[in-house]
Amino acid sequence: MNLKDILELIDKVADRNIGLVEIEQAGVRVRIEGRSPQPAAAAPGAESRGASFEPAGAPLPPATPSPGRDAQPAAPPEDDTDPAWHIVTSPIVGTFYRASNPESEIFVNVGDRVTKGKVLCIIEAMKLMNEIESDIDGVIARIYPQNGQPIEYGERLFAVRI
Amino acid sequence: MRELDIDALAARLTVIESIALIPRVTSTHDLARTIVAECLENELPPPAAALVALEQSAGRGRGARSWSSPANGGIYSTTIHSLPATELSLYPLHMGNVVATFLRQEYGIEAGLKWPNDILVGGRKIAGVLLEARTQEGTSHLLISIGINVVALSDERAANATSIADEAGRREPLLGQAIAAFLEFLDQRLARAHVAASILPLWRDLAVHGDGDRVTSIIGDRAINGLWRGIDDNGHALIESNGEIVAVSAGDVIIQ
Repeated sequence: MNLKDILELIDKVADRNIGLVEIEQAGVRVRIEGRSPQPAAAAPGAESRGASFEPAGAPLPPATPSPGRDAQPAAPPEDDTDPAWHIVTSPIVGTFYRASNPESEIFVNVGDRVTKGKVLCIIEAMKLMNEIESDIDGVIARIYPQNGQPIEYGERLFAVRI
Repeated sequence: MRELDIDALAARLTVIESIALIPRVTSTHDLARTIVAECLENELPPPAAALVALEQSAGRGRGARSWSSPANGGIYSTTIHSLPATELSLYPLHMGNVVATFLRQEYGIEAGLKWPNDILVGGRKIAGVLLEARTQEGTSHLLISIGINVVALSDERAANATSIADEAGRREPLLGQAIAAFLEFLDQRLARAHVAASILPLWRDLAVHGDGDRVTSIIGDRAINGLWRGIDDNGHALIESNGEIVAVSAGDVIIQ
């Protein structure tokens, strides 16, 4: 995704009143927040939308309800306490990889629809590549670790929105 | 390949049910992964099969590394083996043991193991192991990829690698015979009951590491410098660093 794609996406998000879009590609997560309800007098524009870029796996700030949101139907909370988010955790200690090798295609990105049994990542332990499958159908909402990051037993790997 | 009768060999094996001898392939590992994925997608058990190539155009090592696989130069194999998931964790050491023992028994080569399963002779690599597993409902479908250099290497490759022909000091071994001998040996080892208690002591006997050797462990972009202190009962490398023992379960260990 280049700068032009990102700018187009920002415009689409703004035009369609989409609250939030997160896209992850090549290890970089793009988070684009759409127009939040503003008081009628508030000037539209830069303050009402924005895009942030951060390395994949970096914790996102918790979604805090803004006063403006009270006037709208409640947006789903964007964190793993949401019952609609199923968390896939690591069954072993090892190293997290998003592709079977550096030349291969990444298994999944945020926003991808996955079915039960779909391989999500590899955890390497002692040169054994363990393919970790999704245990549920849904959409990848978040990828917690960065590629190549050491992982502990039970650590969060993915949030799947069901 | 005249000296290799695949049908006769397959008939002698007990765990491996079929053998595919492929003249040229990108990577037996990638091919086997596709087969397993296809089977699981269609709810079929993956075959207990050995894929053996005479040449690989993109032989795989760990991560971005390649495995040099010139035509008729070595054993390039991936065996699909299903086993209880509880037995999986020591397979990296177990397979290192199998290959090193094969080279010792069959060819009298003093092969040793660098953690977890690089097979070395005099500091040069003669064989490598790459394992990949997919686990469903308590059963792991394991890809056991093993490459062994058989014929004599060029001077260029001989700087950090070696082969059966270079080490055995005998007449050039016939590749077909080496493939057959290796698959029979692997099959026998896979048929044996998995005894974790025997894997660890054998690995320790075969290790090239000595207590107190200086090593560096590299996991991602993190490096730990320290002294080799053996392996624990999980097979993890123990490295003493700044007065503390760290158990390392992933990444590479480099001998200083």
